[in-house]
Amino acid sequence: MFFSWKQLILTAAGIVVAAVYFMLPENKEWINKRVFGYGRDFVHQKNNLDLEYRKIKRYDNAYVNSTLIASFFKKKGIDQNVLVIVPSTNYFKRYGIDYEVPEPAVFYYYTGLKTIEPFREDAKNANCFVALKNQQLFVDSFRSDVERRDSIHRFNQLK
Amino acid sequence: MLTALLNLILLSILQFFAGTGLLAMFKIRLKPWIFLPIALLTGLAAFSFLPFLLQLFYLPLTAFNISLSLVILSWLVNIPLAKRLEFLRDSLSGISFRFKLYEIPPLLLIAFIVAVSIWRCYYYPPTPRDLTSGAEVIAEYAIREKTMINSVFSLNLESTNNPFKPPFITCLQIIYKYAGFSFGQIWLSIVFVCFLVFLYQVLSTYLHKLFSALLLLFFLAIPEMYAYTFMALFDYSNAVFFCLSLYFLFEYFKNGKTGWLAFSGLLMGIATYIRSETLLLVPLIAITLFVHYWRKKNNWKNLIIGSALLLIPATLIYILSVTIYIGFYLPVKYPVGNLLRANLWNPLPLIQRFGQMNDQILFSKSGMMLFGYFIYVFVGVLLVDAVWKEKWDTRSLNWLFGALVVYLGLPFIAFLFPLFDLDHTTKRGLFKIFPLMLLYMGNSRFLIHLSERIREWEKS
Repeated sequence: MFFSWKQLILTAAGIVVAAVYFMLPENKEWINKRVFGYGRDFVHQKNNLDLEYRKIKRYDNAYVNSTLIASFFKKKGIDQNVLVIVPSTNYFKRYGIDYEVPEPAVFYYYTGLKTIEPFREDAKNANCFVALKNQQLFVDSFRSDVERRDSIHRFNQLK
Repeated sequence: MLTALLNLILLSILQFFAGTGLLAMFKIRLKPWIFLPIALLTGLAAFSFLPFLLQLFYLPLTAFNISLSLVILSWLVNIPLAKRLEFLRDSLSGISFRFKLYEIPPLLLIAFIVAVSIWRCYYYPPTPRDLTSGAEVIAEYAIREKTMINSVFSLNLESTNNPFKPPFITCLQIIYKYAGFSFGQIWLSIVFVCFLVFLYQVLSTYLHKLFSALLLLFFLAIPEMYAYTFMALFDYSNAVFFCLSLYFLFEYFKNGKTGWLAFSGLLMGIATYIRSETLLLVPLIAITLFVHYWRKKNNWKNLIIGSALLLIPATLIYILSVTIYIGFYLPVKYPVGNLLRANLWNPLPLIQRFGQMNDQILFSKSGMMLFGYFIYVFVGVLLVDAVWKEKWDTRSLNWLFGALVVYLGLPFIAFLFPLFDLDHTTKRGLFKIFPLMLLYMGNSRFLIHLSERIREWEKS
């Protein structure tokens, strides 16, 4: 016999104590959702190891819309030379678009595109902007200082 | 994936050797299962300085330069090699892989919870905004541009202070990204696993292994703390090195070996490198040192040397990573002094923050969601100890004092720096208190008494 009956009693006692601890409401919720519940996700995840897929899963619309915006500039080959005004999350929400706008550092991490919030002093140096047209994202460059000032003013109304 | 795994193994071996060399330099002999995690953690911490040092000397952060620096460090700290190999053999002699039956169910559950964390850490990209707007974006562009002073600093950074933090995570992210992990952050799993192994062994020093395993399980089930074992950020690692520093300090009180105190100071320096405000807790921790010398009736000279060994590494690392690196080296100015509260003579915000920390985080419904029942387990053990027949001993009092330092120190830091908010910074800062509570319980007189009774019953 490998184990004494005393060890068996202690094993049973340990299992009972652990079981009681994880039957307490918050613990039960945590272990079921965050630990055991993860089994389903794991099966799916091990079959989906593509990096882009993983980023989309984690960052959701913030990543998807940011990469979409950056792709406009990448296609034109000007993504390295622009500073883009991206309006606030409230602006997009107002027009029914679910887009948590990342701050410039995070936007840059996602896409490599330099952006600026419209209420910052540096916004006056921006040469492009993102807006919505017919519920669709669209990007354009400023043709004049007046246009830039007006756009900034418009975006800042929905800060 | 296979290449990354091989690189990870190679990197871990290098870290282990670097850590072994450092432990040997401080003449620290540990039990095998404490030695293993401590060597790995020490090596990992040492590696986190290397890209930073290369950067300070304006050397390009190429894969070759970084790999070479890791190898050189691991080699340098292991000279003379023959002596180090002997140290390693001695440290690992008597290592055992045997478990008692009653350890197995809780340890299996722990292993499963750990495995979930490791997978999530590997699978998901870095998530916290504090990371993606700071250390992670700098690391990502450091790899592309071969410097930590990269195009990130040409962005408008008014919305964040995250790029202006000591580069512990940035450096580890760079190393692990070069090793083939696109999202880096798997180093956090190494920290996590090593810390658990360490805690289990330390708990088992006095407690019955069933108690150790159960307490470790309860500690692991702190929801918010567990979440940060796969969401890389500063606080979990900071809590680990802070706790390790206290462990070596308190062990020094028992064995009187100066190397242990010096190593404790080094670990406190690493904790400060990870989160710079830790420096403010060091003088409070030093009180235990004063009490120790006072009890031992040591002279002033010993007290000054001892305090210096504890305080100087953290201060030097702060000066290097904050005063010099952030203050003078980074291309964008970030005056740390401006973060200090203007009116320090009004104690009201301090009292307010202390109250909020208790009412809104520690002892509240939301606190229960964040930290589960662990605090209540600790309070329960503390209350039983308070009425228990045996007198308090120094070991448990030391850990209790450590927990008290965090408990009182965090509101104080928040008082000094108003940016240290309640819902994020204070909440995560509290991670430091839980391992200390756990190790208090590991030295609880009541639990030790129970453990002894169970052991006697087992043998009878």
